[in-house]
Amino acid sequence: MKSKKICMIGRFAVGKTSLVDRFVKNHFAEKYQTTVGVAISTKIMDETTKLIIWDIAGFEQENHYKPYLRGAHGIIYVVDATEPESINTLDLILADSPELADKPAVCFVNKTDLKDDIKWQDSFDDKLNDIAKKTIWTSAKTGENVEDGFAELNKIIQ
Amino acid sequence: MSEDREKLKQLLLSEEIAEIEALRKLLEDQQQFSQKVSEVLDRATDITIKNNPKFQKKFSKIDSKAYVRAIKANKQTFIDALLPIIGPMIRQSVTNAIRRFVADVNRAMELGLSAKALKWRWQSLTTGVPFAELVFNNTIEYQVQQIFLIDNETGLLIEYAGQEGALLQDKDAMSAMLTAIQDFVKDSIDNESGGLSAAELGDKLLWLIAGNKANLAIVVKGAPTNRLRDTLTDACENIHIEFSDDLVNQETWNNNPELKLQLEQILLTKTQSDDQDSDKTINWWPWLLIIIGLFGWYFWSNYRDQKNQQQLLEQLNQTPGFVLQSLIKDGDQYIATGLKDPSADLSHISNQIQIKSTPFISLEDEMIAARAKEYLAMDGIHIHAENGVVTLSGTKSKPTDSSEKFDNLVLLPGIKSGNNQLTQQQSIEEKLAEFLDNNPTPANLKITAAQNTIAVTGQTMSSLSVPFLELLNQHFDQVNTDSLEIFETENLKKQISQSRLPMVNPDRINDEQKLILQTVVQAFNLLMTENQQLKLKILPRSDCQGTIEESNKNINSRGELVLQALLDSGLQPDDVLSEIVYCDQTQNEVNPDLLGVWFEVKE
Repeated sequence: MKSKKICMIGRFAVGKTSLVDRFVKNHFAEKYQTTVGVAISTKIMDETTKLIIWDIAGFEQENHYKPYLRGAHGIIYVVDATEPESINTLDLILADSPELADKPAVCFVNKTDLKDDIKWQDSFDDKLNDIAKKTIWTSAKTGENVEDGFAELNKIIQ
Repeated sequence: MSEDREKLKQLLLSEEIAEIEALRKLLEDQQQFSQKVSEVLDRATDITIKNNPKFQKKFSKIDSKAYVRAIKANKQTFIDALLPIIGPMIRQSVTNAIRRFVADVNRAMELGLSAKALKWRWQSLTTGVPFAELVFNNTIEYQVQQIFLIDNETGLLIEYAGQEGALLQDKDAMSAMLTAIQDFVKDSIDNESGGLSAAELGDKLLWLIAGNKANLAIVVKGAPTNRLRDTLTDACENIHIEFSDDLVNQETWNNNPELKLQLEQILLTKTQSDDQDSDKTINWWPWLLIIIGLFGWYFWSNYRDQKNQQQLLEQLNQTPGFVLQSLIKDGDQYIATGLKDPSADLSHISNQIQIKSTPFISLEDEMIAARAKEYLAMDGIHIHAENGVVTLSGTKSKPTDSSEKFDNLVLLPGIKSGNNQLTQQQSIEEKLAEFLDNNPTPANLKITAAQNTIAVTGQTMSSLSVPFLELLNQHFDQVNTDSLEIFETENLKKQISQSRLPMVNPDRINDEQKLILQTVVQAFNLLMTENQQLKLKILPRSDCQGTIEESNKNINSRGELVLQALLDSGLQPDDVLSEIVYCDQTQNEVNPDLLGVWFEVKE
């Protein structure tokens, strides 16, 4: 069985850890707990692949996340559908680590369950299409598209 | 028109047509075509793989069904091919297993029997520290328990060795975490000195040995030495040399038996005694104790068997009417073979023995006596045999009991003559008569004999009957005194003095009064059997109501009536006294309690 390293990247509080928790443990915690450094989880996808998921602490200035990205087979960018600023954060990350642009990636637009608070513009879609091969609207709270999102990335990195 | 065209075609394309024809022939001739293709196949494959890497995967796919089919079809070929490999592997494996077993037994004996082990067990009991922990602390200097070989760049696990059950986390997650920690340390704290090299995890130690392409993360328990670190660093370098391709080829990660074996070889354990007596291979003491124990057990069980057999032999030899020929042990049982007289009693023989006997007539005195007893079938007689002479003693119940049978005794095997010393048994009636002749029966007692039991009935005084009954009990086995009433003198006297005959009418005695008088007479008669000098005094009374003359007349009348009634009951005039107290003054009230006659016994 092959192990594949996947990194979750995004602004703080966009729901990276919640997405991993939903995917690995099928669990959602209402209380927000910030990730310090990195949290590792694993999940067997099929007979041949096991994902090693590096849930990297939310991006802020001065945090040292770059070493954790080394050797990643795939990237999951996470943005918050209710917080357009989280898309700009991805620009900053890519500017800081241009090598990420070559990695297979998908983008999760999270928190779709907060329908009334969604602030989305068509231009955001174009922007995300430049960064990732596919954009998937997810909700860690309801579990909507979470499994499919990870499966999509798994397909891309094979 | 068409002919012209054909001619033109021949003129212009004759060479090309010939070439096409040659090519067709080449394609149709399979052998020639194969020859041609084989010449370019190798190069063509290389180019194809280069342009399309996925092409190679098609060849590396394992079709398990094809393998199974191939093995089934060519079983012997596979056996012949594998035997030279498997044979030495099995031998090596068996040798290792035996070596490990001997080492385990050694260790178990050492831990089970030695004073040191007992001390540790006591420590474990008193402190609550697990015994295994104490053994480890006292015997193991260090132990390399787990090894992770982790890719430097991705943090993915290349290979793992150790007990998977001891892992707290998924080994892939642990590899990633260790890498993350190392990255964190390297990036945030100390980038120049190469990052984290060791960490403490409770009572365990984590060593990180950096390599060019992969890092070794090693979990060690105990107190490892620098020498171990050097060994592990060497091992890490060797892995980089020997498996350099595998370390970068992710296809082989987590599925590389050779690399796993290499890692398992550095799962080292160092015991505290390794330095002191490294040349010591086997601790002989436990084995010596086992051998001594086995010998002891063998000798003891042998001695016990012999003793048991000796006891059984004695038992059989001492049994009259049985001649032992052989005694053989058969498992837990013994089989005794011999000659057995039909009258021999083997019921007391241990159930460990199974008897296989041949009948014979024994001429032992005990057997002759037993045979005579069986023949005579008489209870209560004693039969003694000596040198063929049978002596009968004891008492016989009937005169004709044995005379005829006794005469025939000499017909039995081994009996030369008989000596009849039997005496006639006396009947109980005769014995009783003889007893009563010598011991007169106390008054009022009736003694009868029936069915071997003496029955004593009647009423008697204690002083007279008790010595007699003691004598009776000495002479007879069964004396029944259930119907006997025994009285004490004082009790009877008291009974009489407390008797009162109520008598309102002084002119006659009714039936009820007669019964009271009869009881008094009976008691007095009993007392008389003990002492003939006794007198029964009667005391007639009145309530002195009415006139004095009439009252005194009534007193006299009561006295005379009672005296006459006593005489009529069998008492003699000399046996009775009267004490009359006359009224000297009259009373106003009628008092029936004073109307009657009272009694006393006088000597």
